[in-house]
Amino acid sequence: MSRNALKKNWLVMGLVGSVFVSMAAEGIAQDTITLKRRGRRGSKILGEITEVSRTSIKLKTGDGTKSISVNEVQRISLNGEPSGLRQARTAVLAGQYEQAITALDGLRVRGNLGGLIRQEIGYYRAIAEALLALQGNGDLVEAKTRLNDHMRNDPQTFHFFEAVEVLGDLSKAVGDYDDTAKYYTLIGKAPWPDYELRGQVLLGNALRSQAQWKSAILEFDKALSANAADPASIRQQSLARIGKAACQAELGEASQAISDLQDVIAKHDTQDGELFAQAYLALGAAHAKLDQPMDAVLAYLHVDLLFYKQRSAHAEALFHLAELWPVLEQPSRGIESRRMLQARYGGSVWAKKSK
Amino acid sequence: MALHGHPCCDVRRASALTVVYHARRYRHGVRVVIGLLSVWLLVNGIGRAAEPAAEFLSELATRGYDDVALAYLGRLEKSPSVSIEAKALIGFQRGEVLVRLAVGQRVVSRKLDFLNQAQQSFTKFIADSPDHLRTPSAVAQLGSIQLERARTLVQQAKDESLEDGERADRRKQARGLFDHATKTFLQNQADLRARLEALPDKISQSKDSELYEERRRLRKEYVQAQVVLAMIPFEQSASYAPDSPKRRKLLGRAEQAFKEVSEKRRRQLAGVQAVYYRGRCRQELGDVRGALSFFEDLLLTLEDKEPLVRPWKTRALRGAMECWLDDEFKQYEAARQRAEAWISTQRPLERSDEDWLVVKLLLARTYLAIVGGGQAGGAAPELKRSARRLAIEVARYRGSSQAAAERLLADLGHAPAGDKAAHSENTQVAVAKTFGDAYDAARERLSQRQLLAQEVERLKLKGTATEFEQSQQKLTRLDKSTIELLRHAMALADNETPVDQINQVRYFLCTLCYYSQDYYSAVVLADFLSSRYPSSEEGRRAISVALASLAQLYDGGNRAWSPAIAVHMRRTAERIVNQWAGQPEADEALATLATLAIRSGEMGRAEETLQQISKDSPKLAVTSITVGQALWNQAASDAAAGKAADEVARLQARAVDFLEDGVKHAADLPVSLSVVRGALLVAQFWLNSGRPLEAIKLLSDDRIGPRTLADQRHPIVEQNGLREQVYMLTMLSYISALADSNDPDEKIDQTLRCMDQMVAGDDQTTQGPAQISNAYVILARRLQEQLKSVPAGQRQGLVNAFDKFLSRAAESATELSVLVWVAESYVDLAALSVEDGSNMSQDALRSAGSTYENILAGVEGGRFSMTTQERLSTLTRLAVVYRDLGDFEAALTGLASALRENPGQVYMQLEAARTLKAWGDAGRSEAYVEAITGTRQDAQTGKKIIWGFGRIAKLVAARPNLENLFFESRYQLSECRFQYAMSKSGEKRSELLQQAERDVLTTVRFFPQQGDSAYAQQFNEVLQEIQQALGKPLTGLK
Repeated sequence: MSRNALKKNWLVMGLVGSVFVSMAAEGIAQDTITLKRRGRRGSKILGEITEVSRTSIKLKTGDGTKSISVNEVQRISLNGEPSGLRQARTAVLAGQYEQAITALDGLRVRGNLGGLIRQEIGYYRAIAEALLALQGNGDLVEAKTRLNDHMRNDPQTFHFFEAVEVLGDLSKAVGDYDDTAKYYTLIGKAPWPDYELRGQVLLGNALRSQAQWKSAILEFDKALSANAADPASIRQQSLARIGKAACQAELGEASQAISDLQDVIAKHDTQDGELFAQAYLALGAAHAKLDQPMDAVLAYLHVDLLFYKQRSAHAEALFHLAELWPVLEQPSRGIESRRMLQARYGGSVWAKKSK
Repeated sequence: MALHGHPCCDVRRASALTVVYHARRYRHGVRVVIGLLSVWLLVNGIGRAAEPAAEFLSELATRGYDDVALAYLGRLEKSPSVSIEAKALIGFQRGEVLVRLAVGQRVVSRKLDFLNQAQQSFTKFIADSPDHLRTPSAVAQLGSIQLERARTLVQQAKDESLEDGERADRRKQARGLFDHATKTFLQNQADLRARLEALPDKISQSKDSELYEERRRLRKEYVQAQVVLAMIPFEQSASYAPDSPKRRKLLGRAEQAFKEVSEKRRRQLAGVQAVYYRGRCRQELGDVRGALSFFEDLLLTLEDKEPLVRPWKTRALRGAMECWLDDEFKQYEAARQRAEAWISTQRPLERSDEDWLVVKLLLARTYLAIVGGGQAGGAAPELKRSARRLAIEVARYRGSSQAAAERLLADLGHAPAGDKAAHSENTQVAVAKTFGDAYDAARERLSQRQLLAQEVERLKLKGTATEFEQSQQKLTRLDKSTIELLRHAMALADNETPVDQINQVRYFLCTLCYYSQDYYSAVVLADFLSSRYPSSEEGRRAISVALASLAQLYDGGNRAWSPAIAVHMRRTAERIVNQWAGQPEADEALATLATLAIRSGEMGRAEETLQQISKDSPKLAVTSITVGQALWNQAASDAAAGKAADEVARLQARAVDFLEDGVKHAADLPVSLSVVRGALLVAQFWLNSGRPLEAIKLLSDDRIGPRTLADQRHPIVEQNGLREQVYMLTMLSYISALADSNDPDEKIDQTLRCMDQMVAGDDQTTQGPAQISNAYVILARRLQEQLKSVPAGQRQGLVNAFDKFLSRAAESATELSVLVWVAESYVDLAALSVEDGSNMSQDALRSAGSTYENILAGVEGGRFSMTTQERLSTLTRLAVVYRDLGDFEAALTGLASALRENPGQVYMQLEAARTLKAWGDAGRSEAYVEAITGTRQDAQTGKKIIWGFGRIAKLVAARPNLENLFFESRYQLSECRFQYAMSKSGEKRSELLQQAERDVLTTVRFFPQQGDSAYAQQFNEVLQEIQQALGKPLTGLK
């Protein structure tokens, strides 16, 4: 075959390929469930969502109907959903709640939209407003009421446990400890072992934020005493260790706390930004307790430089750095930290505390 | 270990096994196995699990937190949660951090200190882990350290304040280091080659990603070493003079090396770099055309959008523009078009890049060249405006182009009407609507200020008072309006305004407030900047403004508020010391603290503070001198208060230690008043301690020597009224050095030259004749003192010097007391010359005589006034001089003339009798008789005007208070009689001898108290002489 003929064939094959791709794109006009990453890869399942509950989603696929546990779901795309919803979902997952609300505001809701899509739109608006309020940009009580209303309207939403955690966070933020305990305890009612531990860790952290160190330790100990076998539960136990160490530091056992936290750090993968951010925050606080400002700065800098995607933790770390740099005769770095805190997390409690 | 029991362990273990497998499979030996294992350890040891050290260090470096990185590495070393493998790398990482700290360090000694520490870290790392994956990098780093040291030395050698010898020495040292670095990089290259050859021929990126990555890294390092080896001769060439053949040879060698790299790596960044440097080599060799061909090649071939090559394209354009603007080419239009096109593609992050700034500055110059060449036509005003805009833009950024841009702005003068950024003083504030506008306008003003301030300085020294005053007023007006503009800029700043530009405005403001003597505002702003932004350039610079403003407010401690200001100063200085420990700013603050301690009389504290100043700080010298001066003054006041001499001496010795130390350290510093005063005190001390040669050496030091500076009419000496002190001290030192000198004439010449300088250099006629003659008197007295302490026969040099100074003093003296002293000194000099057997005595006596004659003429003429007694005394002295000169007639005439009017002047009578006796001694024997019986009969009274020893003795015999005079007269009488007898012969002699014997015996018999007088021995001797002459036994007075 001549060189020109070969070129021509490749061209034809290329055109065929592009037609195929285009057809495939039409083919994915179905509901898509993206599963959480296992190892390094996530996976997508395409089909038609036929039923949803707080704990599972049923999806009709070419291979029959599959029941997918909600705790394995990373995200869902619905067939025929407006692009504004997709944008809002992406924005919420990226922590850009204002953009999510803007995207939803721009939606033109047509009459033929499915119920699930309408529920998704309602959920993402309520959750975005709630999370924005938690960042200090909105009315917490109003946000809690709206999210509660949404949950009442859609009690079987597969977002249930996510929403309950946010409701717990909102309750904690407004100082309603009874509601906080109620919601966090409700997380523990989920059928997955790590959720129970997560509820205990969250409750422990809520108590910690109220300086109830001993009560918090009791909650963390509950999580730590569980017989955890799966990675998710082990992770929650590590978060409990971090929370407990932070409490111990406050109770005068800072050296022990530092040792425990270093152990947690040594045994985990740095891919887990949330865990590492929490560990370094606790480590920074423990060093500060021992009047070791350089060590504290090093710990908080880990959050600032490596785990800044954990927005709340980053805001807290910046707050502490702004306070600690001048102690190390580096006031301009302190100013820079405060500047960043105000610029990025201006509405956060840390930014307000820093003013 | 941290990894055990963790899910990640299995994956990593498998990876390690793969590495080992490859190593075995390809049979590259144990060394390779170890090297490859280190790949795994490097990736995994400090990688994803446990403490994320590598990522953290990398981020710290990005933020420029190298100090924190160093602290972090120190903690990692001790951390139990860090693996052994990760710990093994710490030395390497520390070295990297230290190198960064060194590169960013502006204080040379600290830079070298960091480099030394880095070298130690890398050396230890290489010794501990010779087969580690990073060992070649460590070797390359060692080479880079040698290069950095060499660059520092080349830079230092450009310092024109250094001696030529020192500069040559630094260049030589630099060359040694360049050679050393070459060897290191050759070794590094060989090691990298060996490692690359030891790797398998084929490595799968997917299966052996770590090994693949390692090969990529080794290749990269190999190419880097190749480029560095080409760079070394290029950089080394700067250590030779521009026209040196060695420099040309090195540049040729560098170009050849770059050529090889560019040909082999044409498609790589190293190839681009090599082509650029080929151009630079040609440029340095003066081959502008050749250089341009390389730069143009890059401009044509490099992609505009590729981020990695954009900097090289900018550099190439910079080089090309330099060529186009060269007199050989003058291709202004080409330069303009290429630069404008490239600048239009500039990205925000490139704005502060040095090469970009230079390109803009060159474009500004291109515009001006077009205008200057008359090619602009009607576009000239617009081109000038564009040039101004570019200069303003460049001046905004710190860097090596900033000063050039400011100069260009200043040269451009005031902006033409219509230029937004530069209106008249009054309208500028109103026109500036944004921070940027106000900032640009202020920068332009500051450039103008610089020129105006220089003009003020010039007029201060060389202009008329009116010119100076007018220029100063202009400067004050400019400062005032610029302050207004800067405040306006501050008001326009918002959240988007870059902090460093706001800080620049703050810094300009505090500086101008200082110049405008608004010290409180200056302190507030400078304090704010230095405390809030200490690591910024402005924060650092503001320290000097803060301390200087506080010092002004403190006003030497003379104000009611000075104590409060002192507290603030101390607090500020202490903060600075903590903040910038070991840096020039801390040293400046320590110097302030020491000065404050001195002011408050806390000398111990001042000394302690002084010890904290860095040994290489320029502040050390000045502060040592200040402390030394304070101690010196204290010693002086202690002495005045009557404190124990040894205590005072100890204090003074301590003062001198500090002063000597200060002066020693000041040798490399610019001259200051403090240094000159310190040098004078040290020289004074050395002179007083009998070390005149050392004093001369210091006073004549080429750089800080006060005498050198006085000869140069240095303003510090001239304006502080130090000239006389400097020359006096120098002259005294020379005079004091005469006694031990092998070349006394040279010292005398030097002294006289000093005196000439002192007198001639005085335009203001502050040196009146009285002061000048006074100076001579001081010097001559110093000589006189020395003469007394030097044994006869060894003082010819001193005697010559003394003679010269006496003659100068006599010429210049107008005061009676000085002239009297000169005359007497001549008499002393004559006596010394006699003692030394020198033939100078007659000259000295003649000089003494003429000086006395001068004095007496002055008295006669009414120039001087004298009492009768003083006049008679002077006449007597003149007579004695005549007598010593052998002019007895003149001596006696003078004496007789005076005695005629005042016959009762018994001492004058005695001198007259002595003169007669001396005349007798000189051979006129009849004079002996006249010495005994008197002479010169008064024509009116018939009495003898000169009495002679006989009558003198009779007249004073009854006056116990003149007993000595009596015995002197009697003795001289006997002596005259004896001598007269001896001048006769025969009977006459015998008769006269017997009479002489009777005279002696009578005196002894009737005046037994002579036995207790000083004359007893003399009577005895003369009697024995008489007895001997008579042939009697020599019984004497027994």
